[in-house]
Amino acid sequence: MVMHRVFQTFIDGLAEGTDEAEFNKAMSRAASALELSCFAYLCLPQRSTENARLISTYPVPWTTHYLDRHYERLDPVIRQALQVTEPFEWGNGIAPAKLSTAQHQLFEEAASFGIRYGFTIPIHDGKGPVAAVTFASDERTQSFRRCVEGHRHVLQLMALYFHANARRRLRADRMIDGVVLSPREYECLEWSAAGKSAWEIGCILGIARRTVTFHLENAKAKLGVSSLRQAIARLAASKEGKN
Amino acid sequence: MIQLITSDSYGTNLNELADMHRLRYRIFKQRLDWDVQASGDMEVDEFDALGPCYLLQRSAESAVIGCVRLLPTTGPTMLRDTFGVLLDGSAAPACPRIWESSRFGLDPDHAGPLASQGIAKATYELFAGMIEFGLSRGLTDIVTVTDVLMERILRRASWPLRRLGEPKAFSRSRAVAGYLEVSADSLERIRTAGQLKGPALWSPVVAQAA
Repeated sequence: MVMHRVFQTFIDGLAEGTDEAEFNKAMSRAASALELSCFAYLCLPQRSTENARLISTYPVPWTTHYLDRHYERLDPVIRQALQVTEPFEWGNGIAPAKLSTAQHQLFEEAASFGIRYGFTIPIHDGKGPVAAVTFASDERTQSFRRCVEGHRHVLQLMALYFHANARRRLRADRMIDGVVLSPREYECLEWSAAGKSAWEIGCILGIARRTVTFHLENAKAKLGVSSLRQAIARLAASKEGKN
Repeated sequence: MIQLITSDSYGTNLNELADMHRLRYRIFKQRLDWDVQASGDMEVDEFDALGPCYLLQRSAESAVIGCVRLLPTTGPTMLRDTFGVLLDGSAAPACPRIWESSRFGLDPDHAGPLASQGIAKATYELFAGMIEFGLSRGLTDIVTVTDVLMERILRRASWPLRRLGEPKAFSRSRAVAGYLEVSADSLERIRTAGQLKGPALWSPVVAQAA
């Protein structure tokens, strides 16, 4: 029953999440409920012009250092995640077996930040690897092993849902002239552009008319315009630019 | 027996959800070799992040042997966002009384006995579940993207697809979009053709009480 609640809270948290901080909160809450001390979600760039997206509760000095040094190119865990689609465990004495001197050093540095053991869930599409979620710990405790072995399918599902939600909700396509609207703000503005009134939009989306007005006001404020007509024009112009 | 899972009961149906994503991996990745996102033995895509309703077909031993996903067309849909070319230039439906079905699949290893027209009883049951779900939500139609083979099965099952456009080549099949009627009549036809005695949808009363 406890697991059911943890998972439902996690899903609800993702559904309401509109930025990385809220996604981080949803995952870290679930991880700590399962006695997993920290996690990292790494989404590989789809185009060479984009940056990798990292959402994690790892110590910030470590993630900064890691990204600065481009450790993702060297990290044996990432290497393995690129090759296999099956989730795997790693850490002291557990595969991957052969490490170079540089990789040894990377593991030692990670250990100094309390990252010694982990369970990594790679996500691939038909063309290759796209993302990976890791749950890490400084000790391979009983509870860590019990969780990884006993709740493997739940962790796998959490990783996949996290990625699907991140792709769906944290995308740049709700961006208008560099301003990112929330999914609801964007949705209301789109319906508004289609000629629907706030009342009609409320019926379509199953929310109160008041709530629609609230989202549209937010969208206007974010875009720095005073009328809905201007906001719709900005939306149309940005769509024009993307096509 | 068909089970409905809504987004507020994902937690209580955690194991069933995992089984469904495993079934989808076996069908869409391993068997049909679609370009889908997966981890290990499970398939999940971005539309699963929209809190869809799922209909799961359970065997007598309660294994998940079939599934279909349902999303309102007032939000993002596969037809609008991925298969818009199948609309032949017209707008994708966006209406509270039309929902989209996707990821329709049955475990080929558990097809079970046939009903009429050489179609498995399990297939009819899942169709009936879709119509019953539609009726319970006051829908007029279910819109879907499918292929011409499935379109033929639907016609034989007496639940014909009303095309929205001409079929077009997609990877190794010919995809087509259309409407499936949600009505007491269409349900009756499916029940007759599928030799179904009563409602296909089952509400987990015991699970809810626990």
